[in-house]
Amino acid sequence: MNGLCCCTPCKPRYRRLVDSIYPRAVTDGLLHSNMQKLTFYAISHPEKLERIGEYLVMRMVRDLSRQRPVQVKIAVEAMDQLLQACHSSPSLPQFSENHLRMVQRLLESNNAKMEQLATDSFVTFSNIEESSPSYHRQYDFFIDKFSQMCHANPQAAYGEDFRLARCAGLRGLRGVVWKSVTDDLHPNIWEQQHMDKIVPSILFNLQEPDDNGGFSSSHIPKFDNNFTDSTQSHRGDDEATPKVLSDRCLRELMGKASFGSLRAVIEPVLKHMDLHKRWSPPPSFAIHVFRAIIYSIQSQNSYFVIQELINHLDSMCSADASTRIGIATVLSSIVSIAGTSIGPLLLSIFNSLLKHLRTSVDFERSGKCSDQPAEKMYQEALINAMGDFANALPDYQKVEMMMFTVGNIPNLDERKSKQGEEFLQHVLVKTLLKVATKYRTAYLATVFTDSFLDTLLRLALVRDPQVRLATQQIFHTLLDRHDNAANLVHLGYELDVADVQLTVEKCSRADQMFMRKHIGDITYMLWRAAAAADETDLSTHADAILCTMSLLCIEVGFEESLVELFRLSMALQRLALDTKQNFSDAKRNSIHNIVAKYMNLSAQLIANPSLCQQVQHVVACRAQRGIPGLNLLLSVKESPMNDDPLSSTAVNGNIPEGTPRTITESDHALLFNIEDVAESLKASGKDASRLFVPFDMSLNGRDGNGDNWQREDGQNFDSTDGRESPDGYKTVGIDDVSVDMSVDWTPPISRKQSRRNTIFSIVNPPKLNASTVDDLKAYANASFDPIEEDRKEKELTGSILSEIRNTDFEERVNTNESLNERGDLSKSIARLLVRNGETTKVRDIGRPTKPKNVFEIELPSFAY
Amino acid sequence: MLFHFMSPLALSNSYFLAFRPREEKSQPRLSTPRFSSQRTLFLTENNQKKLPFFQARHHWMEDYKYLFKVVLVGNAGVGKTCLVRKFTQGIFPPGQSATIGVDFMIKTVKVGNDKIKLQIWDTAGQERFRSITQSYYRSAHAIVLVYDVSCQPSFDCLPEWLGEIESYANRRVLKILVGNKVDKGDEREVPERIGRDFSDVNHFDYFLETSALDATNVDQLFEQVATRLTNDMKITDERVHQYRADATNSSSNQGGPIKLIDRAQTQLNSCCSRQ
Repeated sequence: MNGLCCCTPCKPRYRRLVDSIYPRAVTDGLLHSNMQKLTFYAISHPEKLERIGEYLVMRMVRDLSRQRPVQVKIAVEAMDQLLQACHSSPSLPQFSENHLRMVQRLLESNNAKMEQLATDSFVTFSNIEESSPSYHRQYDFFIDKFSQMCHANPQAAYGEDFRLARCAGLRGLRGVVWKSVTDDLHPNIWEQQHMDKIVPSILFNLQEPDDNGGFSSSHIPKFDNNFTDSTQSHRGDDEATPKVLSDRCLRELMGKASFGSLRAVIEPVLKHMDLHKRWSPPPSFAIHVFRAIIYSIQSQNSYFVIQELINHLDSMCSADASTRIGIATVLSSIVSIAGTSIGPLLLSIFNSLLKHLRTSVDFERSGKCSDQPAEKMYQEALINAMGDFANALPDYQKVEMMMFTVGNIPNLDERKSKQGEEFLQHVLVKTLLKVATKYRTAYLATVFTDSFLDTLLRLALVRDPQVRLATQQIFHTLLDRHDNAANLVHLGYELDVADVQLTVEKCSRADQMFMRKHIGDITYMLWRAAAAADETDLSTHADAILCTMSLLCIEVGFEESLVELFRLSMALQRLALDTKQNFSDAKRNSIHNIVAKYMNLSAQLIANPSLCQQVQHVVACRAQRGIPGLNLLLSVKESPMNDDPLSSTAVNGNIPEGTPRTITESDHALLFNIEDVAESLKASGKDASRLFVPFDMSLNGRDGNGDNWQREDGQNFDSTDGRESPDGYKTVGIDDVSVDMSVDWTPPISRKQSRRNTIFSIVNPPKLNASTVDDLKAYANASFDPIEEDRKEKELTGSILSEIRNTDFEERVNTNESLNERGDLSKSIARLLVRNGETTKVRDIGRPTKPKNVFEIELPSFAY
Repeated sequence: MLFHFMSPLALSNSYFLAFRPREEKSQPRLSTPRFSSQRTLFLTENNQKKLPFFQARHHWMEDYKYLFKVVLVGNAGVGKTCLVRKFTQGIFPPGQSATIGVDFMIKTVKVGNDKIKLQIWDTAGQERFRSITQSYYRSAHAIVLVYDVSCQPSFDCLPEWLGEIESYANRRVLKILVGNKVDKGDEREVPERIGRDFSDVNHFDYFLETSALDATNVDQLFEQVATRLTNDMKITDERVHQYRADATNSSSNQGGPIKLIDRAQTQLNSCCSRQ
């Protein structure tokens, strides 16, 4: 071609070699044999490489401006081949400068085909590892241009090929990232100005609806005929759509980001979501993106992403509820993935989530909130996030989180809690339940630490029935270690307990120790919870209580707890019979049903035939009597799940007038006889003596520390009742016997009221009842032997009972007076400890002769 | 020395350097392809053996003297894309839909005897692309803020845009205000006087009313952009040239890199004179 030119011999050799690669006919491609010669020359004369590059680029630019695409293509191909062949050449940096100049020229051409060519060439270049750093090279233009290509649309210059252009843009960006991160001297790629272009470009393509539709299918790219262009064939089908490619780019980018550069990457993502309104539910795109991020970044950094999201939530706290719901949903869907890496920031993250929950509750309560359902959804989303968060953590951290949540529950003691706080309590209990469901209990003692159990027991008795119910559910989920709860939630009257398919395992020693310590508190709580059961939602509450009892029976079914539970059952039966309680008949019946069902279950579980017989007998009698709501056999026949006394009533239809609606104390056949139960238990070798220890709230409970138990009226104290006989627990003097027999628990309206009605039964701890220092010492040193304890209690009970029965009332008062005179030491100790002098007053209150004085007492101001 | 400046590598580097934002160019203004101390440094590093023989063949490579980045901003639908199309391609695209993200055009214009290359970045006006468009402000040499004279809201948004420019763009960027669509004579809502006042008050470098439809002032707009930027650049060039000349030709200590010997000499002189 140039042979005729007279200057040809003067041309340097490299120019002649370059010229020779161009074909004579425009239709032909690169002349490969000549190309090989050129390559060989370039390798053997590295110093000429730069000039070859310059000359090629010069020709390429000329061809470009003269609209000769074939020649341009040949030049680009030659450049690529040289670049690959000479990747270790010492003059590669200079050559690559020329190469980049060529790429830029092509990109500036505003021709989609040329841009494709340029991108391919650039990607080739980005795959080459350069041995020497190029300090002064900048990719600003390439980032700008590739980002622009990512936004190609059919209306602009690209026409139908816009997808192709977008793919090219994405690949180009990826190339820039590759090039920059492999080179340590190129940290500038992570600068905010570059990421502000790269990240939105990637996300923009990721969010575009594919031909395939949703995100779920985005991993199965459809082969599109548009992309079977010859230039693309080598790229593989999996990168056929911009969407799939952008997903990869995002993951790659995130994977390469170091901790220091994460912020620069995450912030554009958040900004993009804001601007494109991608938070509004369902935020499937945001979830997809953040999942991808969490999976791609180094796992030890994933907490940073969560922190950033929470910070973003902070900054959006005044935004639309839907935005916050979206962010919270995203949080909940990624915390579980990131969970394991959270480590030291655990509590701070959890705390900020709780803080947001609190803010939201306050906001909702403030009345400024226009969209309460949305706010509720937001809270729900936050709670879910915390639940998922907990799910990902190791068990000990779950316990930690439960403690933390409990610590955040406001004002358990103070009855005059504000409305908002009660609601917050409600929300937090829900959170706690959520966390608790994720926890798998191994040993009861590890989760039920003293303060935790204490709070739970109190929570089970608060005013809000929903909270009480949720607390029972927390008990269920924490107690249930063998997945029995699902079968027990709506336990009916089972003729054969084997049908329920329960998994029972022997109670471990550690649990026995734990239960020995706490079963009293728990049964006491259950008893009160039953008394307080909400009339409007009776069956749910009754079921919850029954479920807790059954779970206790299954999980910690060793002798003492079993007996204690039977004792609870008996107490419940008495409670239902107590005419002083203004319970509705339905409630009495449902308590009777709880007792019957529990007795049935435990009798069969401990395989006590005589007890089983008793239960069956009682149930059969009740069924015969046809008291509506008590016919357990009926509900068994109808539906094993239907044990709602109200609905049973409805089924029974019209009840003839005069038919009793519940059991009275005289219906012995319909009641479980405590003596018989004890006999049966004794027959199976159990120590049933504890059964006779009557239930008394004021001794077992946490006396005096904000106990909100109230007595409805003074006449609840009634010495003829027979039930007020002192509880066996460590009582010495008759004056220490509780007199507070109130069982009708109506939620106090305020602390003030509740305190006024409270009987301060025993203010000093029981151990102080020892009358001498030696006794005290002995008491302190004595090891705790439950059986011995029981025996003592029984003795004590017997003696006190006989004393009450046999001696005259006046005489007894006198004896007590003198006893107190003599018990100087105990008195002085008591005085020392309880300086407010309430002891004496309280003892006066406790004195049976003047129970009504309760209302005249002027309590010290702090009590209000 | 001159050969060194003109040598291939120097030129090959120039395209990178020209993209640098103006701020970075402060002390030795790197954006000019000819006079840059930093480039000289690269030269001496890489090309010691380079022969001046090849100087001549690089004229074609630098077929422009300066390269400037121009960014168009403004509300959606004020006609930014049409302006750019009219200028670069001479067409008025009917039924132009909203720009997505950012669009790119390049055009070479002549200012005097110099060829000036304009990289025109046409940004989307829509709110949702704000994050990506903002990122293009940073490296711009000139920002053309466009409003629609027949649409008062687009004018009302100008302070907002100014705020964005303030916060994202280079401080010394050339700001130009353009009222587009003057062909809509009857529907005009913003009088020219108002626009001019606004541009004066807010220190725009230039104000112009254009129409992409009938090509009024379109070429003039971009010519103005190119001319003003070139003049700015030339002044700087001359200053740098002067600066360099001073530094190389005289041994005085005024301006230029301070050489230790000079400094010592000066010190000595001053000491002497004082005594």
